[in-house]
Amino acid sequence: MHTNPQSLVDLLNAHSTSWYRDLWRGTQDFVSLPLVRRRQFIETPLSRRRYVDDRSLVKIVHAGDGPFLSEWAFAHIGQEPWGVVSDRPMVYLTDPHSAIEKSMWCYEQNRVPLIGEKNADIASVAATKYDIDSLIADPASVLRLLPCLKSRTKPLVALSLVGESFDPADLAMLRPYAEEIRLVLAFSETGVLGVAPLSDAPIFTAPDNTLVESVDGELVFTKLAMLATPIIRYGSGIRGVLKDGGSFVVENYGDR
Amino acid sequence: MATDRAYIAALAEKRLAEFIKTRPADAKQYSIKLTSGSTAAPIISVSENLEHYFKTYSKSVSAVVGFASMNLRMANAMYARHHTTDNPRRILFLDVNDLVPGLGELLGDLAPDLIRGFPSFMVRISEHMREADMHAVKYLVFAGELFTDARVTFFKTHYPNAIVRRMYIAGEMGPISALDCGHLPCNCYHPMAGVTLTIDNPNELGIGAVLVTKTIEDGVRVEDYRIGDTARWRTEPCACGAPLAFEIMGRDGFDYIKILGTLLRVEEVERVLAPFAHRLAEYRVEAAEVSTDVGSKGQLTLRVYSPGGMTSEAADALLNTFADTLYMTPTKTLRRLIVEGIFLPPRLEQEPVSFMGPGKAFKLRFVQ
Repeated sequence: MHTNPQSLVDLLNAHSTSWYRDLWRGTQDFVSLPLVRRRQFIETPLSRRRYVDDRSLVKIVHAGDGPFLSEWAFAHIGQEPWGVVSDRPMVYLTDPHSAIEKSMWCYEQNRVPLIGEKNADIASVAATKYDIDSLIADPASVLRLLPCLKSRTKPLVALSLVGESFDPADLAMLRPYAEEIRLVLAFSETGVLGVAPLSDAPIFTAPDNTLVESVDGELVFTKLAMLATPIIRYGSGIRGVLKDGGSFVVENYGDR
Repeated sequence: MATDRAYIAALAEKRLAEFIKTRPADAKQYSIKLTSGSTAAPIISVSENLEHYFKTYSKSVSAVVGFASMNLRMANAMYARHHTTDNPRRILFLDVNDLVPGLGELLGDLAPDLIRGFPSFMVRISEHMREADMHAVKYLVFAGELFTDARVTFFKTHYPNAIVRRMYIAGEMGPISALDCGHLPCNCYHPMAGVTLTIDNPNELGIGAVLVTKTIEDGVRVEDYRIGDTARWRTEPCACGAPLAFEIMGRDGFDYIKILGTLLRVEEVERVLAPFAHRLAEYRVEAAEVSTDVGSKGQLTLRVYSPGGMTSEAADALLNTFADTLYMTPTKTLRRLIVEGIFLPPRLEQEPVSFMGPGKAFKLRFVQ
């Protein structure tokens, strides 16, 4: 992890891959860099924005403006706080690319995950037989496992809900099924941007490797790591307010 | 004494229960595995991540994998992560939902040199790929479905520079064949070392049910396990020198359906419907025996998804061609069997949306 963003910017400016250098047009100072947005990921082939050649997982991200590729080294997947480390985690996500990624995260924590098959009935049977103790899901997929969660005699250690936006009022009904419910704000191309306990007004905490700024009320994120495609001053479209210690409150998730 | 599926399921359940009691010291050695469910209810078990499943990755830099099963995708991901010395550098798992406009450009960007998966899904992937990108593929690795002559021609034509590798694997038993030697015709394999095959109750062509004897995980010996496929022994010697080879003839209910003394074969259905390929994004033939006032009769229902729908004229043309040209015995078409009173006229059901998943394309189904 880079301790300050400027050292990462310096590396990228000197890198043989020129994507960021071209976007920045000679700007060297981190705080003056123009924002990068998803649109630029869509417009640029992965091969022209790959900065690290490591063993990695490639995902297809189906964005509203078109699909694009996002690549994550396995080692970097392991550094994202996707879930809570437990003995028998289950991953059940609507997006199969995301499901593989989070399952690999479990392995990076030296845990054997159960990856849910798409069929909710089969996934539920498997969850019961494996006696899962935590779940990584999304707000839509978790509803398909609800009968399974209701049938359990004890709550999960943790339920991590991964998404680009959350409606806490809709999720409150999940409280009986887990001792801890985490909202994991993330985009496929950025990794985790913030984690918050489920509450009426969630306060997200950015991960250690993530710097968050507010630019004209928009939350802007930088990952302090040399990712396959680094995330430097990523304009999230999320309107929010910064709090102390790298935390933030979302006012509006924006229209992506 | 022959091992049945219930025994295998009980064994898997016991192993899983023991696994749950003690968290493994090295998680990457294990995965939670489910069988496909194509034969019966899926078996859930804990499996060791065995290297020999995936030796074909060793020369790949950029791999694309197309399996419907999520746990099979995970096993492949684990191999890419841990069990190669250098390659593949990157791996992409394609899902049926990824078959969208723009996929060809993405795959061109990724430049895969290896594609692994079910043949039927790989055909669908190929429809999105640019010719130059297919020509750049060096390895095709297949599993899970019977090869037809049409598929062999398809892959030879579209991937002229690819080495084709196949392996015969059963979900609950693991590998049954050795990785193919490159000398055998399609659907033919040598048994893996330590595996004994029996062709049970062969017919006049030597075709019978496959029974497998092998030692599976934890040293458990499985005897004469019926995996649901049919096969025959090859009598021709193989250039590689291996003494035994068998030819898989298909899976009852998947590659063919026996109904009222006739045989509904998937290859024949594909031949008959080939002229309608531009109109039919997906299709499945459902066979049923229905009771009528004059006894039991067969009926085929053609379930199709045609984006934008079909006019009644187009639907009639499809059904007429289907009945007139589909051979269900060596000499009789479906039309002839209708005239003889063995079958009712076929029906057409149009689905408003896509209804088939990725992976094994179940184009035939027997409806009870």
